[in-house]
Amino acid sequence: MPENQGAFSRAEALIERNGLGDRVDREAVRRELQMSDAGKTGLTLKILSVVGGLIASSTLSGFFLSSGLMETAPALFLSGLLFVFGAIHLNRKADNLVLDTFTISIFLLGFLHLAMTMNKLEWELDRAILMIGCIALVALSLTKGYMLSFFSTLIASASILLFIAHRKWYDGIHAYVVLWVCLSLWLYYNESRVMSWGDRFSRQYPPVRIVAVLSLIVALFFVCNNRIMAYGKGTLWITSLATTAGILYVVHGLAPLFGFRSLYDRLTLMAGTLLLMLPLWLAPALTGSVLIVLLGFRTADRTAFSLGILAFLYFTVQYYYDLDITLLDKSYVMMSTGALFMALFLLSHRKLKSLETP
Amino acid sequence: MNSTPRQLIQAIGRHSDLGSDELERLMQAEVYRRPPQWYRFIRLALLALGAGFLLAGVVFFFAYNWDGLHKFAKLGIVGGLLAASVIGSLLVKSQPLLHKALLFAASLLTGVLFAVFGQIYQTGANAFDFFLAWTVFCFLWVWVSGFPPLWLAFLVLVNITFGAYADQMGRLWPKSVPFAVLTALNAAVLVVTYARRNVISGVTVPEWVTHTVAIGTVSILTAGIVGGILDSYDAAFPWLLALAVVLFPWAVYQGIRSRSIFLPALVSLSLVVITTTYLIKLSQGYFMSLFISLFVMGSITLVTFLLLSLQKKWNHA
Repeated sequence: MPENQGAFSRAEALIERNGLGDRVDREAVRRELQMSDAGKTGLTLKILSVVGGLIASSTLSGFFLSSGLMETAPALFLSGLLFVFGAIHLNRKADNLVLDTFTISIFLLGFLHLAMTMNKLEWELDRAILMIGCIALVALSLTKGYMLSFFSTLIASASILLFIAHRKWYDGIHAYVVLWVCLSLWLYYNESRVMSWGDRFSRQYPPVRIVAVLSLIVALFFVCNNRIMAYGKGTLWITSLATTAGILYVVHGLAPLFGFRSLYDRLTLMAGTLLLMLPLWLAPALTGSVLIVLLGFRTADRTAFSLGILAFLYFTVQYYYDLDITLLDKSYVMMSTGALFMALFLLSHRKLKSLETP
Repeated sequence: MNSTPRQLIQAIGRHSDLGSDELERLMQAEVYRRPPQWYRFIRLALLALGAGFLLAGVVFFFAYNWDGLHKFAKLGIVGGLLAASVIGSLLVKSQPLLHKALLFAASLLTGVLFAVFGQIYQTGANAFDFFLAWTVFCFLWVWVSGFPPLWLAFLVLVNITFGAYADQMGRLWPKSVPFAVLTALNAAVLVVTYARRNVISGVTVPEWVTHTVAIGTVSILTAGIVGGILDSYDAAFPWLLALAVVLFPWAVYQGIRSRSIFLPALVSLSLVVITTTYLIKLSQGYFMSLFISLFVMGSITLVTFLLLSLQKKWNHA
């Protein structure tokens, strides 16, 4: 049986199961699932087109640089705008995987040209960075393609980080963390709302959410390694507060699911969570990665879940590496931590196992 | 590839008058995790954290006291662990995952044992001797485990052994020789896997293992050819080309036969990279960079188009 009909019959079963028979335009759903089989051949072709796009945009920029065609700022600026918005236009006309390599190449090349324009005009770097970020946001507001939304958001996010780094306003890294914690929480708790906003937002949502998670991990990385961005020692609490509050928010939302309904029960649960998180107050990268794992698991978002686990492993290793005690003391700390979790596991094992069968 | 329930709901959301509350209920019912899954998650997380920290702590403890230990104790500890994991794996044969995990541990500990032995007696062994011994002596457990991830690790070990050998003993070899040998070795594994339709002595090899081997093989071959083009075409370079001439059509054929676009896509990417390198070697003028970018965009677009049409044909066949 062809795969798409499989997908459609599963969609039909889902519609029947939830009693939505007369609310859904089945024919349109069938057409969309059939159309998007291209999208679902998945990762292989996406990677192929991104790699192709990167190679082609770098050789193209090599051509423009060495040919002397783009000697003047106006030429660079115009070509930059033309490339960025031409790519968006092309993507609107024909959003398919076949053209992805081409659109990604000229889209990225366009941003490169815009950056070179500002360099030619000898703009202040921070002004240029902000400008690029704004153009990326405009691009995001105009496109609905997966790849272009992904790169627009990535460029916008990176420009904020570059701005902080260039201004040497290192304490700002905490603001960056707060921004992405809030945005990630909002995105993960409003998936269905965004879906109901219609076609464009529902298509932009997945790539934007992935960039939110990636940005948060990068932000936590810089918080964890304060040698790169030397923020003030007294400012760490901002990130700690943001990530811990994020976890408490998630736990609060889960409480009714686990039967914590009364105010007293909820407060106890929150206090317990806070107590567990408190030892990690000085290691907010760890709480941040736990937050990502929880968000990813709650919504069955495998990408975020795996990224969160990898980040957690890395931040744990980094934490113990940076810990200013002897190897022997580290081993004691680890063994007691392990023993604590093992004890919790052994105490709860039977109970949890019995609850796993609904 | 199957659409996930999330993708189905997204499609339904786009073509219905469902409000956000109704979509939320749909997501809760069909996509988001339910309490039983959370309980399982919590249980496994506690186990992983407990076992992980405990084990890391023990390893660090011995690392700290290592110099003070008598050599008998050093060998005894590692040997004891090795024996314990092998015996343990025999005792828990009824639990396949634990059985395989213990054999995996035994295979790693074999390497640790040789390393400790080498350190104590200053055998002055060449690096490849160490890897060779490790490869030879863990082979038995790899064989009986029938555990694809362990086989993959073993293949990596074999690659490292040969790499170390080439590094130390093959200084006078043409540069392409190690690439050719490693390509041939990994390609042989790949061919066997496909020839047996991913079932080798009763064990089904998961796709990610086959794909990893394929990526490794094609990367080594591509790196060898690219290096050969940029450097100088040495005496063994024709062997690399010969391997490519045999391997690439085979891979495309296998992809079509098994109705998967993965291998053809991999081969195309490799060919694009190789051709681009050759073109850069020919000329670095600005006209050439324009030509290369057009070539890359054109060829990848063409490949994507062809692969998509193949996929569509398979879907509707």
